[in-house]
Amino acid sequence: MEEREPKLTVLGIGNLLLQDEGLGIHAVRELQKFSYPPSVEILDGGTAGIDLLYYIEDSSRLIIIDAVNGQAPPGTIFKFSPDELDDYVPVAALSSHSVGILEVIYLAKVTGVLPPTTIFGMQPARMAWGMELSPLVKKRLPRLVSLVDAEIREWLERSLGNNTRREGVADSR
Amino acid sequence: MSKKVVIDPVTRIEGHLKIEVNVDGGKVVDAWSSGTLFRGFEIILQGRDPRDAQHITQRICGVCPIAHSMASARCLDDAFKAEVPTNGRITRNLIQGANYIQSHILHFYTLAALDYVKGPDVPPFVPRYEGDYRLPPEVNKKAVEHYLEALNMRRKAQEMLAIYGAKMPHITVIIPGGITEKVTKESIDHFRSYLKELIDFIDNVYVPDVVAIGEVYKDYYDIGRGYQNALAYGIFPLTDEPDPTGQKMLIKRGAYANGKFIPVDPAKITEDVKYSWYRNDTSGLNPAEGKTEPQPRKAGAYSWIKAPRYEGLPMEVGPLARMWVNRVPEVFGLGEKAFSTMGRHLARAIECRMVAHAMMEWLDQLRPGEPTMKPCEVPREARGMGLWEAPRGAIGHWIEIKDYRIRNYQVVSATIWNASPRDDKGQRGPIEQALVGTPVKDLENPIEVVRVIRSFDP
Repeated sequence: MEEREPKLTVLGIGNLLLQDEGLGIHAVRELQKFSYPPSVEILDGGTAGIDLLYYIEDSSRLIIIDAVNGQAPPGTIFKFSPDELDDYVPVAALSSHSVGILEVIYLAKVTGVLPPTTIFGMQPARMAWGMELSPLVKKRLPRLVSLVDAEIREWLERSLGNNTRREGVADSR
Repeated sequence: MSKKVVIDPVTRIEGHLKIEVNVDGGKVVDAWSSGTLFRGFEIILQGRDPRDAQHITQRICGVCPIAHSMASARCLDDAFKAEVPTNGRITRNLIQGANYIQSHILHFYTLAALDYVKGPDVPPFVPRYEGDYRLPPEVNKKAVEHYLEALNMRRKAQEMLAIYGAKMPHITVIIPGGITEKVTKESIDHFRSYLKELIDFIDNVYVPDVVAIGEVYKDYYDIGRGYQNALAYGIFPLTDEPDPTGQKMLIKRGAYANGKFIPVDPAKITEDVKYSWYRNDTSGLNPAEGKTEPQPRKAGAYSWIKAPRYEGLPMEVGPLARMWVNRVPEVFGLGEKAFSTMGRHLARAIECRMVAHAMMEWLDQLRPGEPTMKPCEVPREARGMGLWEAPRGAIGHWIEIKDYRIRNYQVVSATIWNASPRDDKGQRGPIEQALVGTPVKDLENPIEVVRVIRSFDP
């Protein structure tokens, strides 16, 4: 992994048709408005399954944003690493249609291609049919986005520190 | 200050399948297969430009958009009276073939293998359900290595597909009359180098692994038998000539029911809806005249999937059906044991090998620089039918065009056949029937049931 080009992939996951289920996508859409340098890829992963693996393995650092059920009040923001996930179930899907991000993280891990990873999540409030976020999650989204933005900037500073000949980061807002 | 986070797989949803079984005396005595999501693509398509169908119907399936794209293009070819040039026919075959290879490898290694292969006793392979692992240690160890190698092979198959298919899973190159990508000497060589590596994996790893696992799990050649009815529309045309009966294909059209091989007449396909959430007065129609009129909460119904039948019979579709009606020796030679959980895995592997080797020959038949498509016009009024085979089984698209627009569009995809609910006569769907009789040791962990369902690649 060390020999990989420095590249941070920010992967938003979710289904836009199910309100807060798509909060990861809403978050990356906000982040896409910022001007990060090309070493930061902001990716709408939607409901893609195993093909996400190939984006992950090209990255030296990974941030995932997703709706998370942490059995907490709606709007609660989580930040954790894949090592903190327990009950890692090896691909248990009945069908290739249901391979999700957990299976993808698992497969990346067993094949040794998972870069250092941070997962940002938020407890959803509503997951009924609809393109709109619930008012509560909508209100909390800027906070989630700013936390991810801070993580991106920290990575940029560190990776730039390792390569002094790179240009400085343009103001990203 | 560590806090334990429990992550539930939050619903992603495509076409969720729910299976319920009744177990009595250690065996499944009845089963119900439900599609829990209304899709409604047929309704979305009404009134649109017919050429949109090829793009929109791809979204029916997140893992086999290519097959829907092809079924739709062939349906439009038929309606537009399009002529597909040799290069167009072959590149379409190569794109679809690449999709078969990736799909079959993915299905076996990533989804099915861990039912039989025990991962090493280290995270993330543990904790796991205490399963029924019987492979000798050396075989098991090799299978674990192959499991990891398979992910890489699958990636190569996707990259190979992109040489002519450009982009997965949103493929735009397939159009009525051919494909939009050109054939060059370089692209042929590039494709060939990928294919060689994949053939090496299929011949020396994938097929031997399935055979070896089948040796140890012999009982799975007797579990999941089902009706022993099979239907294949046929795929991979070998000639540019019209082929209305699907006999000039690598995998030919055919059917098998009640112990007899029978010809396929698409007019004999009907869809029942007594147990599906659609209006009863739309039951029993041929898809060319099919209607999509949902009736949620209809009493007695339990699925959004209709119940397609051929001559009134439930038919299994997929690699087993294709290899069986084509009497491919490795599968046909098994006799009734072919209709089984392990028979389906074996048929999938044998088919993968057959298609990959044929693709190598097709590459030599491409003519660099010659056209891959012939332009065609949208007709004012027409009907069309596109019969094709997704990796998981037969799919059909039907179109009726009026005033240059789609008046009616009907899709009957592979899992609609296999996972169908009961029909108007009360006959179970193929997966439901295959589950009956399956032994279940542990109700908390019914791995036997899961194995049977997975073998259909739903």
